[in-house]
Amino acid sequence: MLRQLLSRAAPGWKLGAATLAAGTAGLAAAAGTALADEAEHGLHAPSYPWPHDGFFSSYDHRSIRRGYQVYTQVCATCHSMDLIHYRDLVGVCYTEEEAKEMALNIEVTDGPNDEGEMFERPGKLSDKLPAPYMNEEHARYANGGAYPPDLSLITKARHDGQNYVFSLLLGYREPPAGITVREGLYYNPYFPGGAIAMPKMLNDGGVEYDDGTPATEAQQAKDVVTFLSWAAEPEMDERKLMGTKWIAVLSLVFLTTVYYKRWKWAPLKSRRVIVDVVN
Amino acid sequence: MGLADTFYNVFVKRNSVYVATIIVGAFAGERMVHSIGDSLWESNNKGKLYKHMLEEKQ
Amino acid sequence: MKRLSIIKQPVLSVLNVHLVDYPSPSNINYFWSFGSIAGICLIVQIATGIFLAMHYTPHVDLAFLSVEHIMRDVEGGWFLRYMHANGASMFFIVVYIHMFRGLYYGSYASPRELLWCIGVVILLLMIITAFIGYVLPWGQMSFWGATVITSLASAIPVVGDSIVTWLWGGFSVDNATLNRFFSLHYLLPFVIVGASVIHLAALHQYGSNNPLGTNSTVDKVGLYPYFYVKDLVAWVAFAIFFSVFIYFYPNVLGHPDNYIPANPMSTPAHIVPEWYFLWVYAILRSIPNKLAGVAAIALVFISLLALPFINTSPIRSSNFRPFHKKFFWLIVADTLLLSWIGQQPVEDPYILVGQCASVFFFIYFLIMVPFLGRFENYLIHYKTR
Repeated sequence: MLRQLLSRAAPGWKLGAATLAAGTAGLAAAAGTALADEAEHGLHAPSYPWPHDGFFSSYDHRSIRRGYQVYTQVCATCHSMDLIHYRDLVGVCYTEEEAKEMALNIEVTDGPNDEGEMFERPGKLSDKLPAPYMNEEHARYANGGAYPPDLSLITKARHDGQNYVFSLLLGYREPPAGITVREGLYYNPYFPGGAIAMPKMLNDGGVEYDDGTPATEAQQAKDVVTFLSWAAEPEMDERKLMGTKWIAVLSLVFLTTVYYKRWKWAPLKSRRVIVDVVN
Repeated sequence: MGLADTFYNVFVKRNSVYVATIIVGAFAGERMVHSIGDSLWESNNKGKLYKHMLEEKQ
Repeated sequence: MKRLSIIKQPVLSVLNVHLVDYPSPSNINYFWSFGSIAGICLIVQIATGIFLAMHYTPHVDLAFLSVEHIMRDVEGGWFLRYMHANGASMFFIVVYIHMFRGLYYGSYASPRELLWCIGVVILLLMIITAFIGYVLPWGQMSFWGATVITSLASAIPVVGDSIVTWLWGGFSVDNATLNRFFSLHYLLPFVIVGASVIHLAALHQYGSNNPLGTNSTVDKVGLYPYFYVKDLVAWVAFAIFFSVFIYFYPNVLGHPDNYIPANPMSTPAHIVPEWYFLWVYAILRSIPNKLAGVAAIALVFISLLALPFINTSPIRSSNFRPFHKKFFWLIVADTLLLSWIGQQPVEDPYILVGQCASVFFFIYFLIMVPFLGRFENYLIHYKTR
């Protein structure tokens, strides 16, 4: 059919159509590659309108606070956050008194004391959030060989991190026909390879929020991703505010320099050059 | 006498006044940029900032 | 006796002659500002780098954490680090535009061969400095990038493996490698400063080229005030461009994997160099043989160094070289294409496209540059005969 069409067409058309056909075949092949790619690298996460996405938008600090509660009540059983201390929460989502009180609830091994012994003491503001495992080997042993990564930088350490983590947390479903998932792994199309060792962790009502927000699954995912984004980029609020002020001032400076340049150059630009040809 | 001439006579003519204008202007300008920037930031992010969270709790 | 003005004292007069009263062609356009912007980039990198080094720890167990310490606990640390990391990208953007300007307007042509060649040496120093600097945060891309690129030396026959061991200071990229890279990353910028001074001296031997490519001495005006006020506009515009990255897109030019601490036991899915190396990386990868790939990279720099000597055009500016003008834009497009290919996986459409783009790159420098000069010259004489 295609050949008949081609043979009837004028020679110029023929070449164009042939190129087009080859191009289409190439595109189809590329599309096949893209599908294989998505299985291998994980489904491309859709883009969600995060409240802190705009160039002049701060984090929703209430959401950070709720996200911290999701982290401590759910994620912290397996994931550490080694770069975050209780002091980091002060002035961000908790008052100093609240943070001190939360720190008091954990036991920290300190020392050695004057007798050379290690000892347990209640936590202080300067302590890190407690890690669930002693070391990587311990973590792998407890999780069937899988290592739950540290979450301090997770949204910066994954491509399109916020949307990826959000989609992953809500992405659990039955594996499609023809795909089997090994015992102890769970199907999640957003995870590279599709089989993840982390089970579905967020469920409606699985977390108790201290501000009374209904803890739906999606609400928890949104809050914990906001918290993780803050943990990865705690400077973001300050950075955006500072950047806007600085660029606003610099724009005025720019206009001034343009004026200054034109003013200084006016004599040069308005001179008349006479080429006096000798002989 | 135009606006530019008035400006020149008041602020630029005497060097001491000129330098003082620059120094005071720098201070005032910085204060202004910060206060305008901060108030825009607060109104654009109403209800999202830590201070709003604190206010609500009290 | 009348006292000399301070600016006329022997040492300061050098500065006065070369940086204040220096006569420059009145018609040079804003593309000539990129030289001074590159100088600003170098100063910014050195200044931020010195302060970062006060808080950084070059040890495999602490390097990643010390960078995060800078980002979180050091007052203004995130600003310093984002400025330094994005500053490297800005430096390369500026220097690439600076070089393409030289290519378009024939600034490399006689008598400015030395000027161009010192510039190529500066580019080479910049590439080495940026590469070893990227290793310092000790993330996954730092580690694996260092492993892949230093391993290239193993392609050298007979002594290759020994050279790699010597580069590493051991049998893998490890603490010794990190320490020497830190040391060299602190040293090389000052070598670049020295090379830049020589670059400036070479420039001032014959003075700047100009957009017409004609004799530049016809109409010159002082660097101060004319080009200070003109460059000031360019500097502020550049500062705004730079600020947008620092404040709003600080990680867009980086790779997410470098926020994962280096792990010799786990190889990332794709090892991609920083964007400013992608065009060289694409040329390297388009040749299946490792040694030939390394030789191709050497040929890139040899071509760049040879450029002023194999150029045959008596006309400098591409404004008056209709054929070269087309090929100039083709080589710009080719470099962009190579940069895109450099970040694609080694798969079928990309390999072939990359090979074609690499071949064109060398065709331009080694064949078109000598040929087009003669060809256009022939056409002129044919027409006027």
